[in-house]
Amino acid sequence: MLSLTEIALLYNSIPTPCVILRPDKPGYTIAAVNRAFLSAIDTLPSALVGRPFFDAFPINEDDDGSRTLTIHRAFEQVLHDKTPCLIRNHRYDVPAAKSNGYGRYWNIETYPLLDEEGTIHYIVQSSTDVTALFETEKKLEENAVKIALELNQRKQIEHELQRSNERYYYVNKATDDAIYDWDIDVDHIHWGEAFFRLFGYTAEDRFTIEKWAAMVHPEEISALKSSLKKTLANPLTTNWTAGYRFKRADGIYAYVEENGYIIRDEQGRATRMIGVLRDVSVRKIAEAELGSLKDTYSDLFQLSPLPMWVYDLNSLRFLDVNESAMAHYGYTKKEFIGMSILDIRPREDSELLVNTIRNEVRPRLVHTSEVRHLKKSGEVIQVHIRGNSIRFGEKKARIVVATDVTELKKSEQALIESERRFKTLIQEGSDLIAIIEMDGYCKYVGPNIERLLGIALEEFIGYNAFNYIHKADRGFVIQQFKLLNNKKQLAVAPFRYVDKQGRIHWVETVITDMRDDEAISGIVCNSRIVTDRVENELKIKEHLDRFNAVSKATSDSIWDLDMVSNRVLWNHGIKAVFGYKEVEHDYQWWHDRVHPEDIKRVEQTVAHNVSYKIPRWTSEYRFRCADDTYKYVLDRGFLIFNERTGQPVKMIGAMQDITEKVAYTKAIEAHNVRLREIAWTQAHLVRAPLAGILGLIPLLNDPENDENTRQTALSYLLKSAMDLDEIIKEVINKSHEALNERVQ
Amino acid sequence: MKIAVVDDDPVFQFLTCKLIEKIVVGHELFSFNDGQDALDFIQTNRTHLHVLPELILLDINMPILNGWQFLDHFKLLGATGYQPIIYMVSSSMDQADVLKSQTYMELKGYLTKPLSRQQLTELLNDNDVQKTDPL
Repeated sequence: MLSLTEIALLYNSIPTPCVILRPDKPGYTIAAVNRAFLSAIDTLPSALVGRPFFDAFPINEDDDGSRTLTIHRAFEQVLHDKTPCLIRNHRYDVPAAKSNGYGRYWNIETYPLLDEEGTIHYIVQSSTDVTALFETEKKLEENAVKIALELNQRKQIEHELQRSNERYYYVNKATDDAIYDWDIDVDHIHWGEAFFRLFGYTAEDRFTIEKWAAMVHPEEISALKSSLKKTLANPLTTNWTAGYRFKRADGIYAYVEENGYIIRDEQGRATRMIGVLRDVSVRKIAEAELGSLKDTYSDLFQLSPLPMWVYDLNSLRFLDVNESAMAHYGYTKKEFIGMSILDIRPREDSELLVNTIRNEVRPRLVHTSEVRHLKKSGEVIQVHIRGNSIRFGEKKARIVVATDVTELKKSEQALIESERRFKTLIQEGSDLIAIIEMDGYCKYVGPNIERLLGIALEEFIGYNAFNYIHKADRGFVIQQFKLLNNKKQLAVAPFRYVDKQGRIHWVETVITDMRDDEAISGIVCNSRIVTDRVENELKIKEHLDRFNAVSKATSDSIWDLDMVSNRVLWNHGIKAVFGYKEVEHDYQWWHDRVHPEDIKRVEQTVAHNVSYKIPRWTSEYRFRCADDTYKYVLDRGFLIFNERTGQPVKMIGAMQDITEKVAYTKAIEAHNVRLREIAWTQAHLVRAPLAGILGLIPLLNDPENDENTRQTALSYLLKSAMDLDEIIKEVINKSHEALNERVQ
Repeated sequence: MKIAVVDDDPVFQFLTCKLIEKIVVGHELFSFNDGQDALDFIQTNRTHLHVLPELILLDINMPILNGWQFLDHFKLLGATGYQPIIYMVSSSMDQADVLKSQTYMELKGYLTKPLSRQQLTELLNDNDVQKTDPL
């Protein structure tokens, strides 16, 4: 076996850096290092020789221990197997070595130095610096991976592009939208197949923007260009949309809508625009027609003189109203739109309306009804409404036309009232209207004849009306009719009709000659039944006649006051009874002669009877005679009232001289007073001495009383007896006086 | 017992006095000729209730102040605490007087003259006169 020195010399000649270690596990002391090693790590032998290997070459900072463990295992393998061990690309940074900024890689071969017996004397670690090689290999490897990845991606893109092109091809085939791709930089528009199909052009190699511009309607190209330029210039916009007329190959302009997507480079400059051009001519025409229809509808709706509105069938809210509705109901359009149709109904009609809509309103069926509506002013109007279903946008709606029939209804009602009133006047009125010919034949008579005269209608019309007139009056009435030959109208004084039962009816008639009126051709008789009045007048006349006769015979003063003129008529009694030679015929004359203490009471009595319509009154009062003495009178008055007005028109009365009667009554009253006095005297004054006597007698009879008491009692008894005697005399005197007064 | 006889008639005064003497022992009798005398006495002694009569026999017809007028004035006197037993005693048998007497709360009864011994005995018994013998 060679010595260590010999071994060191030997290894110094080897260009590979080597470290010779002792196999003193675990120290593995460095026995020697060759020049190449020292040169590689730029150190001196003294810094290494004699030091344990892992002390001289400690674990790198970035080593988690695994790399050092590899070296350990290599040493152990060599010791154990006594065979070399190669570690490739081992990463280790020598502490003392100059750092070039990155890690160093080594191929480390470890092998034993054996003697002939196979004993290991040294372990040699031969390290070749492969850092450069390792880095190169690593880069090559990375590049290979990258290339493979790129190749793969490219394949994918190519595949997708192929699919996209296919899709684009088929979309172009299928769509009616002309798809384009405008390369702005080269100014070429690539049109999809649909463009040529739609607009009739043939494909060309080059399609510039100016060529497109030439196809745009001249009226619109200027604004379009301006819009396009502005949009392209704005880096923030990505879309350009426009609608315009585009000339087809046959020269006809089509309405198109265009929507382009702008692609920009990193600086925001537009480089491409990809989009579609859609032919919307059909829709435009339809829209124009619809617009025209809408205008027609709008005109019909807005200009209608009748109030019209559209309401939502679900919510019942107004959707639209016309001018007439606003004017008629007083709401603005805004107010209407904020309301429902319930708001123009009186509150109590709401339920009816909801039920009507629920039960009667059907789609496509016209519904009419007559209802009450409420104006903004609160006025309730009667309205005839006619409604039909329409679509209003997406909503189910009803269009309603309203006709205000309030005035019409009022007129109708007024007419009905008028007819009813007329009928009532004819049937129920007190006037009997008849049309009679000059010879008395009845052409018409009011149906109230039966009620008023007790003659059936059918027994009067067509018969001679004169036949019903009392024989005594008939000639007079016929005579009056004849006077119509000279006069148009005449009032006939009351005459008598006799009904079937023989009852008399007094009739007062105004006859009017209407023979010249074709509609009447006769004498119109307006008759009034005055039976009660005439009979009363006859009775009064009879009474007056009787009164006049009685008045002449009586001593009473009869008076007759006309309450309208205040004129009083007196019979002869006023002169005979009260001594007046002349009598004045006004009310004041009587008034002045009633005793001042009585006049108010008498007038109150009369006023009371006037107020309560009581005809009869009586009053006693004093009336002054011609010699200024007063006489007591009993006046009996009778008030006569106007039948129509209820006002008193006349008062008739009789003043009876009751002076003697009053005097007699007074005498009786005085006599009664005296009798009462006598009775009182008897009760009080006579009883007083009598009571004394009655009290004294038991005292005198009592034997217990002493003499003195007895004497006193006797003296009182005498006094009481004398008092009684005096009183009795007085009573007798008073009785005589009373008797004498009565006799007088 | 203090008993007052208000009457202008000396016969009644005499008779009443004699009857009371026989019925009650130890009585004290006051005589007044008219209502005014009696009223004056009461007014003078209104604060000395022990001297005032406990029973008053009152006539109607008297001079100056008759029985009715006495009652009217007595009411107005307002002699608080003094509530004598008063009987109207009259010779009048007039029903009007009897009815009128019933309108006076102060009157205990209406008696017609002359008073008998039995009548007066019952009256005094009813009003417990004998039990209050001052002797």
